[in-house]
Amino acid sequence: MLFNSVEFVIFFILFFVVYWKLKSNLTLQNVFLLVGSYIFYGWWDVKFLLLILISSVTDFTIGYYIDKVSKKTHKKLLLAGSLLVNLGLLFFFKYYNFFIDSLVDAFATFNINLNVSTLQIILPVGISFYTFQTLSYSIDIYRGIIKPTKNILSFLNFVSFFPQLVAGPIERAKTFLPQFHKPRVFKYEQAVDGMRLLLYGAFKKIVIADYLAQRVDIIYATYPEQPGFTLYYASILFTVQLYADFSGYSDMAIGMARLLGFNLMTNFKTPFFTTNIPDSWNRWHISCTTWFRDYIFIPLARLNKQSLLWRIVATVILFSIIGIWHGANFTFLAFGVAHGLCFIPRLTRKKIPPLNRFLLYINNNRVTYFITMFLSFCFLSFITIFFRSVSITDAFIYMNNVFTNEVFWGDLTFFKETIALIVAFFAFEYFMQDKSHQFEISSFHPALRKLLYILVIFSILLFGNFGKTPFYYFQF
Amino acid sequence: MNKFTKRTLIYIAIVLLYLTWGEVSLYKMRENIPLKKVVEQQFESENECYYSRRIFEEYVSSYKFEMLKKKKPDIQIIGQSIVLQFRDFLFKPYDKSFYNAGLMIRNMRDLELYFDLIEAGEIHKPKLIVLGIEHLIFKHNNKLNRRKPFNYEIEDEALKPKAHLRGIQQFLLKTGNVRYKGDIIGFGKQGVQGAGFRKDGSIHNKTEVMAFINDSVHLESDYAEALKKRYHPFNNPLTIDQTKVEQFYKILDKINDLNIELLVYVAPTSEEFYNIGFKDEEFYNYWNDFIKIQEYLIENNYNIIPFSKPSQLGLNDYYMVDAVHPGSVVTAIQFSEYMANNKHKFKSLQNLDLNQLNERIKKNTFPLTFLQDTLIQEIKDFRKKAK
Repeated sequence: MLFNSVEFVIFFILFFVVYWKLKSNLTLQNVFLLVGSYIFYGWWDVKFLLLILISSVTDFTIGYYIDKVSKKTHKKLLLAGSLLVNLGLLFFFKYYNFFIDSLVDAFATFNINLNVSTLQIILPVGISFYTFQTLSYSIDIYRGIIKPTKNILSFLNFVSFFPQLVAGPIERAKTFLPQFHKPRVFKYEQAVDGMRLLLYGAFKKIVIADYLAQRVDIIYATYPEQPGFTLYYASILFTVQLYADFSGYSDMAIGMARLLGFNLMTNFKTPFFTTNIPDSWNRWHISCTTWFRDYIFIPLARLNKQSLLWRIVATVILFSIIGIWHGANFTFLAFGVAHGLCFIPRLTRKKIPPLNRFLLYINNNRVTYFITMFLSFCFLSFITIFFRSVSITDAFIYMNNVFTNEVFWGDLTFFKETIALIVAFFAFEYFMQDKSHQFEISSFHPALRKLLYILVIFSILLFGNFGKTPFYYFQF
Repeated sequence: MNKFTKRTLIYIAIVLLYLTWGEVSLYKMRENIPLKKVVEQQFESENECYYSRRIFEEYVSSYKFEMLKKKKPDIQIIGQSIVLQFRDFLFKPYDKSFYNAGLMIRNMRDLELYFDLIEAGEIHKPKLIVLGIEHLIFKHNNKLNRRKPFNYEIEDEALKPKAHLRGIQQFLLKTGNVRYKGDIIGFGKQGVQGAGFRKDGSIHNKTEVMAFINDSVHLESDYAEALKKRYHPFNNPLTIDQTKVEQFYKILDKINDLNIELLVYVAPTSEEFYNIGFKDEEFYNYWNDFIKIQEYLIENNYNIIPFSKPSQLGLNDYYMVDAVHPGSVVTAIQFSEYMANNKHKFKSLQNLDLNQLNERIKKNTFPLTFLQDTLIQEIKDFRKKAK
């Protein structure tokens, strides 16, 4: 079920009513929550439930034994088992065909014909998210950060909690698991805040992301014929579409969780209002970047703490992995590498004083701050061409066409149709950037709040796109 | 919890009010009646009944296929939109077992599928088929090749909640005033206004007819522009695909093997379009390659109403719905004139009553329409105003 589907709305309303009726019995409420989560996930395909159960039971069991055994080597072996199962599932369903195709192509360049064929594999929704969530549980137990839970019901809920199951935020056991052990209390302010997030998230997805998606799709499908400016502008539209889609989903997930008495981590924090790409990664898909930082980058960087070169290499490796996590295609790898390389100025600034002074200056000067913010966004949008393109060849041709197409300006219809929406959206987000979330309007006058609710609701009803458009990150 | 529930319910009530009003509006236009129900009710209706959606997807191919399966007619009209003016009364006294399935078949694959299904018994085997052919079905890179086949199981938008939300939006933001006439039975925004597909499957082009009644204007539509800019149906390459021609000839053999009588129909174009088109060298060559197919059919003694311009029939462009679609009167005239000399070739039409058809043609006042249509009132009003 997609969040922006009528069947989900009906499901959630009924679920919400029954859920709070069971608040006096924690176990029953948790059972109901688990059943609801499995119904939600099984709606895509009942077979997917088997995978999530395998992942859940594996890590619950391994987590228990990692804590129980005393020898370090045994702990390591158990952890390796968890990694094998979770990453094995992920690799098989997501990367097997890509790996086979790449292998066959690589051997073909040496005129060797490998007789290996790909398989008909359906990528289970959310596998990239819940496998990382369960992995973090095992790793944190191994590191001694948390103790394993003995409550399998709570653990199964931790893995399959439906608001965040299919596209995050990727939660950590330390902060999320305890919330299943204690009774949830309905708090009016928390519920209202949850509704605000739900509404704003739906607005971003249905009104902004899906509207931009239609235009972006047309341009990318016909890019050889499009003028240079239109191509570049489409990359900006796509960046905004991606942000509105993914942050919209995250807001809805966090909002729903709040309505059920849970607190999920913030996943987006106005990532475009920064002067450099490294900073924007601190604000974009925060749950994922911190996961990679804690479980990949820090162990990698520790292999050679003193070497700046190794730090740069580790950063590029990290972002290559982040790129390829998004999808089984070299375009995502290129996307990751490009972002990794953007960290070089930050990593080397202390070794190059003039660079350091320059970066400090542009950050502290108001005018250069805004100019740099704008340029940073423009550059980020350009790199995102990799993300959107179907193949690495298409991406390079597209990028080349931005600068070399005979016609640069051409027909500005796409620009005129969308610029007001983008400017208004960014202006609102900029104005609200210091709040806990961008629709945190509790401090507004009550009449203004109500007006905003009505405006957003009717914007969704009147201008929303109600076609067949799943959330973009569901494909990962 | 109570406070939260009460306040949320207020907003939910507002949304429900909007949705209820929207659904009632869609229902008034009969847009949200499921297609299967439309087919059932149109089939059972004793009075004329129109179908034409403008908010939800029309699914014309599926609609025609369902009606064909229900009616099991002995006379079937197939082809693209050029055949949609073949009316049941042209075939009196065989009109009760007639159906115009125009627009069910959109490409050569569909044409082949149609006869495969007849052979398999899934479509009632007719005694006579009138097959309309035009250049597009033989063209390279025909965009209609990508359409799903007519027997594809559709997901009717009238049964999809998201489509209703979209439909209500469209109604509010784009639809404009719809006049509901109590005496018209119809489904869909155009249907309730007396336009669209009739019970016999032919189409009532009310917009073009009204334009003619009110302003004496013949509308060419955008075909000349499409030809000039090489848009569909004249997109590049503007060439006939010989593999499709060969495929077509094989289908003709199959029709013969199935013992179905066949009348091929090549629709006229307007004089205006013809004159513009033939100044375009590429189109001229393309058209001549298409006409070779007609010549092959004539040489091989197929029954065929060949291409002609309105002037060659003693008529003018007012008889054309637009550049490439004939009106119901010109279609009737072509059919009548052809049958006057060739009726004897058709075992299934031995008792064809051409006298009644010629009488109707004589009584026609407006080139685009017969007086029996529901436009009688509009024409009477027009006459009153003119006096």
